[in-house]
Order: sequence, then structure tokens, then C-alpha cells
Amino acid sequence: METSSSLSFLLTLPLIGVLIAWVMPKAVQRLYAIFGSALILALTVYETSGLLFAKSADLAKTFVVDQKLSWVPEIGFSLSLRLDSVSAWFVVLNTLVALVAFSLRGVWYRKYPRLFTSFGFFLVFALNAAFLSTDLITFYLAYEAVFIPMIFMVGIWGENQKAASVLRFFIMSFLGSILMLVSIFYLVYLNHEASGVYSAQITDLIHFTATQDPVKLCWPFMGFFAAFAIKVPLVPFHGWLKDVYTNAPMPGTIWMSGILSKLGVIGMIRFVLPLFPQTAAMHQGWLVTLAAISIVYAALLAIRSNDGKSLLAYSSISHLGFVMLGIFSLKSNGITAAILLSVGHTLVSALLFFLYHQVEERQAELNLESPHGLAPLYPVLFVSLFVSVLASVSLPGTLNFGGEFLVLLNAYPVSALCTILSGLGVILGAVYMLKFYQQLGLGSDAQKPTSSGVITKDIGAYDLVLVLMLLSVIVYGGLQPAMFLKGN
Amino acid sequence: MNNTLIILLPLLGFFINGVWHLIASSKGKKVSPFASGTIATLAMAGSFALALTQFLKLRAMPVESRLIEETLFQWMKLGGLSVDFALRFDSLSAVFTLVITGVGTLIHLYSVGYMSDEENIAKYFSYLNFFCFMMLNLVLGATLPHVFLGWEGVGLASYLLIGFWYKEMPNVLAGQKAFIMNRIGDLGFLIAMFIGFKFAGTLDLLEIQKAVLSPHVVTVFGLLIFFACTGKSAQIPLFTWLPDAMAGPTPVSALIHAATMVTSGIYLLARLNPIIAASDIVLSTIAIVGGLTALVAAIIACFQSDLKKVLAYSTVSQLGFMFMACGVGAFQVGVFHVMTHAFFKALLFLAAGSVIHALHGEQNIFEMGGLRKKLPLTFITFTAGWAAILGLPPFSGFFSKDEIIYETLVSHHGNKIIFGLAIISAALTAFYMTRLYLLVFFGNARMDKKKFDHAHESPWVMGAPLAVLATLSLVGGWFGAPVSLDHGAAEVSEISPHLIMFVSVVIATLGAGLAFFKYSKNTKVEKTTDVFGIDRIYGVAFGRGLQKLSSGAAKYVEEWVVQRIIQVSAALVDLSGNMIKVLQVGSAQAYLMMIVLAVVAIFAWFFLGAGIYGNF
Repeated sequence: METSSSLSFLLTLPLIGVLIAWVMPKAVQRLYAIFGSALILALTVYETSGLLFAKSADLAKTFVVDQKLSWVPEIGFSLSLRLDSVSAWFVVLNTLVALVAFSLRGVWYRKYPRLFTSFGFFLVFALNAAFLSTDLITFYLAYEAVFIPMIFMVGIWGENQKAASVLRFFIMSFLGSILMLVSIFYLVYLNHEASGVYSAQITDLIHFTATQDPVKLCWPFMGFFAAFAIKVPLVPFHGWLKDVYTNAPMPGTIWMSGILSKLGVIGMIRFVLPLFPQTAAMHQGWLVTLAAISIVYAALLAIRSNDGKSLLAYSSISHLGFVMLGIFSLKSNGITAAILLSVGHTLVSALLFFLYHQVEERQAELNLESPHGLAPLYPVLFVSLFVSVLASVSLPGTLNFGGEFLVLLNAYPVSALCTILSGLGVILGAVYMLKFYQQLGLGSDAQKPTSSGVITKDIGAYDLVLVLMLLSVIVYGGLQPAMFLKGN
Repeated sequence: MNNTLIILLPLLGFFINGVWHLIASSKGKKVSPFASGTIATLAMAGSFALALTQFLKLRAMPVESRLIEETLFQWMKLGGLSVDFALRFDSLSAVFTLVITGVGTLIHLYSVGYMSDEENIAKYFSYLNFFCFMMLNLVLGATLPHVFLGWEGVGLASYLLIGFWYKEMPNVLAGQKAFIMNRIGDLGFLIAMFIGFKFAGTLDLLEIQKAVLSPHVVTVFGLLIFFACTGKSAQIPLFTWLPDAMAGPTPVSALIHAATMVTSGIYLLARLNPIIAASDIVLSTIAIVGGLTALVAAIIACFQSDLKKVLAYSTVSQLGFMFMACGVGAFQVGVFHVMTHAFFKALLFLAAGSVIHALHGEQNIFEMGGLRKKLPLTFITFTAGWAAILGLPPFSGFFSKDEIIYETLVSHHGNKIIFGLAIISAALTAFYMTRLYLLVFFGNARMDKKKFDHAHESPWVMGAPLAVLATLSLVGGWFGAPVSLDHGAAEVSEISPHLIMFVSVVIATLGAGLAFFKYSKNTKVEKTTDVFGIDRIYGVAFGRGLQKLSSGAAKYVEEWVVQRIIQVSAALVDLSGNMIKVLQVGSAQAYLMMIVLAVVAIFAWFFLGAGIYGNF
């Protein structure tokens, strides 16, 4: 593991993936995408293994890689990247999510398949860049770059009202980005005023903001906060989410809920808290309140959803509320727990959307108003779905339990009331997730569909291997969360 | 190693039967009930044998150091929190482990006969083994999170088994109700852990008892733990799921909803007894809630016409007795009653199952009658269970129930109100059990003749467990409480235990006599009456309330707040768009395309360049 090569490698590999997609025949795009992303995943795990599997936090520190490339030195812009035990998990998850998304069959492999695969690999690249950057300008560019393939995905392969949902998604995200960009420029400018150097390096800016009056930093804090709160999203900035999630093609939904949401998470952890520790502490009261409201409110919306995809979308917001609660505890243990839960959330939401897609392939008209009784027809698929549902309701022994438990444990001393309120989310989670599973799997005697073109077999061997891989990480992580708890 | 094997055997059984079920059902084949049942039963029997050897090992140790601990691995470690995955076998765990594995083995065996016609038999046995695995974690876990793992795990098993016949949606919904009401209680458990960690700095069950906590913290902690217990052990206010849980197969009702899972609450209180007993508020809350539950459930039981529902309400009521015992500080008496109740209630359920089996699914006691000649073994064993629950000497229930009644009066946490609740509930217990007993086994046969003629005694796999449990219901109380915990030691009192014994036997006889008077001749059909309508009130308050809240959120907040935010964002974006019009090429997409191309070019230049020349 050479120091700087591993970083350039994490960025160049997916770009090569984009290029190869255009020379591959259309017919083998799915195969190519799966093999390509699996290869990148294997190499990424290998390159980051020192960080991922280090026995202790101190040992992990010796594997941290920093790389700084001067870009426009006159104005202080440089490209700086850092691979540490936090970003290591996110880059691995990023590739894993791509593998899951690429594995789905659907219209995206029939209509412009090359475009789809190259968008996918581009997303891997841009997200890796965002997770690794320690320079605000680099981060901003990567952050924006993620957005573009996403918009196109909804636009090209989306369902029903794609135009309206794209517009909302665009407006909200764009607003967040603009506010963040203005805040970045403002900080860079103030820092220049004070020190005479132009720099967007996070380390330089942290030094600078530490000397500033926290009240004065309120506006840039809000700018960053708004961008990430929209991205996660936190209630009430979630207005774009439901339509985009439900109208996006399934791979797009998996990308958004699995890993795009983590841009907001990493943004809060990497930038908002280190840049504005005192400002955040000043506002902690409403930050934790917002997180708690997110949890409960999104859960309430999930309860009345009769569409599987929007139920899972709201459930995703609710669980991300727990992640935010951990971060806003402003304690390193709470943040570490939030990272653990992020890993769990990524795996579980990718898994749930993946399996839901499998169910949809077998029964076209799905609504959760009445029981479908599909479980006896596809026993293996539904056992997988049920175990994923259990992980989603954070049953002890799953990664998500470790995450939620440790988040709440660390949030309790900060705000007992918000922790108890968030705890209601645990109950409501069981209400809607059981409904989700029961209405799909249980109840009336279902018949296999007879029309042609519909899958009538149980889950395929490849899909099952993928599902088992994700589930084993979830269960192993549930019993050995120490691996994910090496601090930030 | 033995502790670990105790929990691993049922886990192994779960995996074998689970995988077998999946493979068989994918191929559309059937699993042999005998083979599947044998695996599951052997797993439990092995576990029981191991528990017995551990128990004997424990007995050989000096009293103060009776503890066998095994640490498997470190589970969670973050900051000051360190949670090991460890199993502790001490005298309290021993009682529960022996009951779980012992009664568990019998019920597994019984299931081989009872469920022999079932299609998904391997699934059934895998769930049953899974339940035992989780239940053993609950009673052997060394830390609160480990107990919680078992606590939620048994809830899951209960959900799966209540809704085992999942093609009927009411069964599924009964399971869902159980799971969710349990989760409401679990929130209390979670918050108790947060408080415990905040103030005691540990979640280890032994260490947390040594921590010095302020009285205020102790009270809140104790009340939260007790709230968790009301969910799992079906006490007021969270008891309404247990009668619905009867939707599951009868052996499940016997194992989970009578003998083991529902007594988890007593286990937890007994385990934490130094903290629980440190607060008078907590103790009296437990005693009052337990007493009221015992009374309310006993009253409801008198108005039920479904055989299993009577037994379900009876379980709720008996659990109330156990909580009363804990509430007056007599924890070991509560545990004693857990044990005797496990014997006689499991017996009553299994005997009821035998009746239902003989009548091909009939559960209405007004459609029964005269079965004593048709089902002699069931009748004799049921009689033993009946005598035990009434508290007739020398049956086991007599010893434990009598001690509870005695403690409610003489313990210095007890008082006349608790005593009164206990006595009235005991009388009602005698009444509804005798009513049930007479309606099922005596009088004329009220079902149609064909059904009556077809009724036949169950096979030996069902008969043998009945006989063993009947024996235990008789002798199970003779040796007294198998565990001794502090705070229960009865004060020297002027009231003679013999007097109380006499009173409670008289009370039981009165209740039984009243039932005899009413039901020995007259068998007018009674419909089940919803006496208090608690279920209906909950349905309106929570079921519909939640729906209202949910649609209110969607209707008002989403439209008025969330949509506004989008509109404001749109306006802001429009504004900023006008400001940077200079850069605008025409369409948003073209603009975005410019960004992406620029980004790609820059990154590609840097990294491909870096890769090729390596000159940075």
C-alpha cells in the first residue's frame, strides 16, 4: 500500500470504468457493471484494509493517507485528500452500493445502457472524491458533480411524474449548494483578511474559525447546515425526497438513500462540526430537537404510506434522524456511533430497496393496502426480506441496533427529552416495517402470476449471494461493532 | 463451556430446521414431523442436561460464591461503555434455565404429536428452538444490553409463533399487536439503560447493583424497568396483547405465553432486586399494579367462553400475583411462583390442547362437556393443574400462592389493600377455573354427537409430557423456593402462617363452591363479555389516534410547512439565477453539463497525470 497511489487509485479506477463502459457492447453492460464494480470493491477493500481491520484506533491512525496537490497556488486552491478510518468506510460503502445498484435488472439496461453504466461509475468517482476531500473547493466540486448523473437518472429512466420531481430535487439541492458555496467563499475571504493567505484547506480554516466569535460565524454555519440538512434530509427540508425516491429508477433510489444521504452525514462530521464547534454548541438545543422531530415525523408519514417505495423512503429519513442525533450530541462517542449507524443504514436501505425491487419484478401491482400473501411462493426471497426488516427495526444483534443504541446512549445526557422522543421512533419503526412485510408476504393465498415476462422463480443465485454478503456484514457488525467504532 | 453450550444447542437446532425448511419448501417437498421434531427436542433435552450439570456444580459451591461465568467475546466498546457477551449461571438463572429447558423439552415433545399434520413443521420447530435460544440469553446474559437482546429476541419469536398460521390475517395482526405492545415496554428498558449508564457508568448487572445512586435516580430507573416488565409480562397497562396471542398454536401458548417468556419481567425485577427494593415508590407501584392486574384479569376470565382465553387471562392474573410478591419485597416468593406456575399452567394449556385436538379445533367451552370419560388422561392431569392453581394442599400452587398471600400481609412493604386484592383474586381464580373445569369435563356433552364419538385420547408423545407436568404440579412446591434473595425475609409476625393457609384454602373452596353451584347443573350458554372494554379503548386511543396523527402530519404539516419551504427555495433559486444570468447559457442542463465536464477534466488531468508521470 503505497501512500499516495492508493488515493489516486480510488479516483482513477471508477473513471476508467466510465471510459470502458463506452466501448463495451450494449448487451453486456450489466455484466460489465457488476464485474467492474465488484473488482473496484475488492481493490478498495484491499487498499483500505489497514484502516478497516486495524485492531485499535491508534493502529488505524498509522494507515491514514494524506495527499495534497497544488492546483491554483496563486489563489490557494489545492486538491487535498485524506483517507482515514471514517472515509475508508464511506468509500467502501460507496462501491458496495454501486454493486447493488448495478445488479438490478430493469429498463436502464434496455434503454441507453451505456449511459447508465457510465453514470454509475461516474457517481462512484464523484462520491469517492467527496468523501476523501479535505479541501472545501474540492469537496464542493465533487458534491456538485454527484448531483448531475442523479438528475439525469431520474429524467431518463424515471417513472411517472419525473419532470416535477426532478425540478424539486434540483431546486432544493441547488439552493443548498449555493448557500454552501457562498459560505465557503465567505470563510476563505475572512481567512484571507486575517492571515493574508488564500486557502480552502479545512485545517487552515479550522485554525481560523477557532479564533473567531461564534456568533459572527452563525451565517456561514447556517449555509453549510442548510446544504447538508437538505442532502440528508432532515425534516422539514425533505420536501424533495418522496417524489424523487419514488419516481427515480430503483438503482437511483438505492444510490440516493444508501450513499448520497451520507454526503450530508460526512459534511456535518468533516466540515460543520470542526469549523463551527462553538456555534454548533450554541445551537445544539434546536439541532437535537430537529433530529428527534425528523425521526418521529418521518415515521408517522411512513405509517400511512401505501406504496412500498415511499414507505422505505420515509423510513430512511427516520433512521437518518438517529444518525443526525448522534452527530448533534457533539461528543466524539456520539459521532462515532453515528458513523456506525450510517454504515448500518447504508447496508439496510440498499438491501431493502434491492429486495423490494425483486418483489416488484414478481408482482407488478403492489400496494400495501391489502395483504398479498407472497411469502410462501418465494420463501428464500421473503426470509431475506424479513431479516432485512428486522435489521431495519434495529433488533439487537444487528449493526443497526449497535448504532441506534449507542447514539441514544450518548444523546441521553445531552437531552433526555429528545432521546425519549427519538425512542418513540423505535416503536413506530416496528409499526410500519411490520406492515410493510406483512402486507407483501403474509395473509391471503396468492397465486403465481401467469402472464409472460414476469419472473415466477424464487430469488436467483447471484442475487442471493449478494444479499447474503450484505446480511452477513450486518449480523457480524451487530456482534462485533468494534470494527466500525474506531473513532473519527 | 457448558453455559455456552446451553444456548448453542437450541441455536443449532434453529439453524438445522430453518435451513431444512427453506430447502424443502423451495423444492416443494414436505419435512417429516418426526425427524424435525426429534432434532428440536434433542437440542432442548441436551440443553436441559447441561443445565442440570451446571446446577449440580453450582450446588457444590459455597453459597456466597455460587456463580459460573463465561465470557464469549467483547460486544460493544465505546468511550466508557464496555459490554461483554458473557453468560452467568447463578442460582436465579439456574431456576429459570431449568424451567425453560425442562418445560421446553416437554413442550417440544408434545408438539411432535400436536403439530403432526402441520405443513411447515420444520419452520415451527426452528422458531421454537429460536425462542429458547433467546430466552436463555435473557436469563443468562451478564449485562443489561445482553438481557435486552434476549428480551427483544423472545418478542420476535413470539411474533413469529403467534402469527404462525400466517394465511389468516387476524393471526398475523395478533402477532403484530404483541410485538408492538412489547416494544412500547422496551422503550422503558432502553431509557432505563441510558439512565443507568449515565449515573452508574456501567451496564453490567452485578456492577450496576453496587453503584451508589441517588434515591431519585433509583426511583426513575426502577419505574422504567417495571414499565418494560408490564409489556413483556402482560400487566396493566400493556396486558391486552396476551389474550390475542392465543391465536398461536397451543404448545406455543403453553411455552411462551404461560411458562417462560411472560415471566421475564419477574426475572428482571428479581435480578435487579437491590435497586428495585431501594425505592418504596417503585415497590408499592409494582405491588398495586400487580394486585390490580390480578383482580382485573381474574374478573375478565370469569366472562370468557373460549378455553384458551380463560387460561390466557388466568396467566395475566397469576403474573399479577408474582408482581405482588415482588412489590412487597418477597422476590424469591415471586420466583417460586414462577416455577410452580410454569408447571401447572403449562400443564393446563397442554391439557387444553389435548381437548382441542380431540375435538378438532373446538375452543368454545359451551360446546364441550362430559369429556372426562372420553379423555381420561387429559382429565386426570387437568385435575392436577386445576387443584394446583386453586392452591389446594398439597399441590404446588398451594405453597407458592399461599406464601404470596402471607407476604402481602406480613412483609413490611405489604398492607391490607394488597392483601385484599390477593384474596379476592384468589377466590375469583377458584371460581373461573372450576367453571372451566366443570364445563369441559362434566355434565352432558353439548357438541354434536359425531364430534363427541370421534373424540379420542392423544398419542403418547402428548400424554407423556402431560403426566410429567402433572407430577411436577403436585410435588413442585414441596421443597420451597429454590433461590433466596434479600428483602423477602418475612418479619417475625403475630399473624400465624397457618391462619393464612387456612384462610386461603377456605377462600379457594368458596370460589370453587360458587362455581359448582352455578355450573354443575345449569349450562346455559354464555357469550364472551368484554367486561372493561379496555381493548376497545386502546383501539380508539392508539390505533385510530396514530392514524389521525399520521394523516394529520401528511395533510397539514406537509402541505403548509414543507411545501412552503420548497416554494421559498424556488423563489431564492430564481433570484440567484437572475443575479448570475451572465453565466447562463440557456438551460439548466447545459449549465450543469459545463460543471461536470470541467470537474472530469480537472480530476482526470490530475490523477492520470499523477499516475503516469508521478512527478507531484
